[in-house]
Amino acid sequence: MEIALTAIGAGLAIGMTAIATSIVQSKVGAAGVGALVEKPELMGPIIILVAIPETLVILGFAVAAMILLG
Amino acid sequence: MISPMLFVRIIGPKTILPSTVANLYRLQCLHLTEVSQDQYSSVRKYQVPAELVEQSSRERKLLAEVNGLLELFDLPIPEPRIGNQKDYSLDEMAESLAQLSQQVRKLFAHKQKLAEEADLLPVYARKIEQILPYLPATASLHGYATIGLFVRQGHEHVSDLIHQEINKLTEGEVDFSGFNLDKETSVVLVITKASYITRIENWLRDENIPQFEWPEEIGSEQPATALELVRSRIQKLPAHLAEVDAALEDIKQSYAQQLIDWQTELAHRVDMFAIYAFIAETGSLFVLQGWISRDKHDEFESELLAGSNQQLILEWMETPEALQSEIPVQMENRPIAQPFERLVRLYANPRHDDIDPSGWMALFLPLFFGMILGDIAYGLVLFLVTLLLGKRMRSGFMADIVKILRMGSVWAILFGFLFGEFLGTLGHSLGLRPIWLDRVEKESLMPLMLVAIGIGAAHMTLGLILGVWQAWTVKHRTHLLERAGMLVGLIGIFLLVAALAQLIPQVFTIPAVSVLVIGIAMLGYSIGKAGIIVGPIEFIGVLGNILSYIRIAAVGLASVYLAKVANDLAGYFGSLVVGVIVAVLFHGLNLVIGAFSPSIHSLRLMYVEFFRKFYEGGGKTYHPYGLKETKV
Repeated sequence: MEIALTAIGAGLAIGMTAIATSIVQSKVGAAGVGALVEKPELMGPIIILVAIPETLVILGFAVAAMILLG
Repeated sequence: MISPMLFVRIIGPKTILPSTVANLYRLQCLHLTEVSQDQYSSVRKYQVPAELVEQSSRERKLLAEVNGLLELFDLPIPEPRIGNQKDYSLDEMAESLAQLSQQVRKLFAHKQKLAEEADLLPVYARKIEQILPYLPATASLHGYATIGLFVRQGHEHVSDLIHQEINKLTEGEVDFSGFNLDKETSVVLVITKASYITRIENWLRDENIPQFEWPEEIGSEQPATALELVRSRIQKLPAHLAEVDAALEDIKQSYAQQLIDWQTELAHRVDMFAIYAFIAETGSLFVLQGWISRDKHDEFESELLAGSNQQLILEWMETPEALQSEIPVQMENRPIAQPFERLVRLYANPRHDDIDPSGWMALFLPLFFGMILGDIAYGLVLFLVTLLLGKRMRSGFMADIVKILRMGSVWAILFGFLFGEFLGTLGHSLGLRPIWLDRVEKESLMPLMLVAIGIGAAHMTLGLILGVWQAWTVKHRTHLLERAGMLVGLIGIFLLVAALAQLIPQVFTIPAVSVLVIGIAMLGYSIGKAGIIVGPIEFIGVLGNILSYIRIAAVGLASVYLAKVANDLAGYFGSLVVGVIVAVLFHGLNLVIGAFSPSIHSLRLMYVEFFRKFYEGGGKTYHPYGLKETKV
């Protein structure tokens, strides 16, 4: 039971953060593509904006790893 | 590194302006900027002589004409190149070009007409063939003509009305025939004396009744004769088309080189004219100014002075305050760092007072890539693929990406040995043992994450040191305080962690906290009044940046587990052939992901975490006056 709960906890930690990241990235990415059509020189800042939410899932991964490793 | 620029003002008598312009164009090293009237109250914008403006306008038109002809002949517009300039007279060029253009356009128009005929004549032939069996004998009599009308089926009363009206118009001297064209449309054929035709056609037009349209050449002929004419024309069409094509090919062969020479010459002249927008003048002098790369100084000065018989004055000076933001930037790096210049520009063009991060990128980006991918087989495949691609792509964005991936693949092979990975876990079965740690083992996860965080901490510290240095050199107090605050705070954190982990004596705990507080206070002070709240938040952001490097471990693990899945799945099938196919498919997919995903993540670490600590960007690219591609 404990192993199952640990696994569920780790799964939730990474799964929820991955969903959150994907929601934010989809919105930022869609807006970014729109902006790129108008101003291709904004490529750099847009990559940054799209990449920023990834930190969420990375932190989720760290938490999941800590849960699994006790 | 960023090449230092020298600001120069060139002053000379207007009589030598044309030769100076030609020399500057040839030298290709002066990045021009407009001479502001505020700088010299006595100078004004150069009034370009009307004849020069007119000449340039003619040259543009001729260039457009030449480009048009090159496109018509499917000849490539030549790459811009210096030298080989010929002294063509504009009038002679215009005259020859007009003649050639007229000849070519006439042939192309003829070719287009023949192509249209090739589409339409078979349609006409089919129509006449449909009509012929329904024509009465009168249709072939001399002085008689036939009109075909369309009537929708089910509207026979309309047909009756047409009969009545045409009977009236022709005073009864008319024969009618007809047939069903398809399920919906009937054709009524009206055969009458040619003298009535105009009257009938006028009436049909007034009543909006559609009729068969025929080409002019056959419209006046009897249907049978017309059919013969059309068939004969269809037979002759390929020969006519071949004649026109041969004539065009002759012209292409005869004039291809001439057109390319004209294009090159006209493009040069149009490019050269661009300088006049930057020139200022007094009564008898002209003034030009701009920047050149410092290593070009000697050549530039000697060539320009020699070309003007020492009549020019070259004033070397500090860039005026108002033009500081206009200083152009040219990056000059060793070949190994050159592919990364494009990635730096993708983020933002460097400013003249920025630190060029291309060299740092050349060190860290492939390292991060290799650490994430970390597989001997994937690294080898990627190395070979990029080696092959590199032979085909010599320059351009993709060529740079290929070079970067090749560097990354070397690191991937190295880390492959450290992790003992060959196609993921397959290496273990082949007796390959990790030199450092096995990423698949559960116990390796924490050390891997700690190493990633350690790399992040070192990378962040380096970024902040560069940031402090950059702010110090440009004397930007706020940036200096902000970056120094982050750096001091980070040192405090490092000391604190070391003390808590008992790597250093615990007596350092209080000093470590003090250093941390001082760092955050400096950071908050640089922000201003809101710094008391924003300062700590900003500092947490820096810690978040360091934690972001965990992706090196995380994405790498995803890659090795996908490779493990490929190996395990291949083993389940029990058949060698199926197993190999499955393994190749999965490993192929993993390799594609492995080339793409680590690149993006490494790039993000450079852009978001590293660059933002020291790199300002927003500068202008060095575009020396001279050769450039001109599209008119």
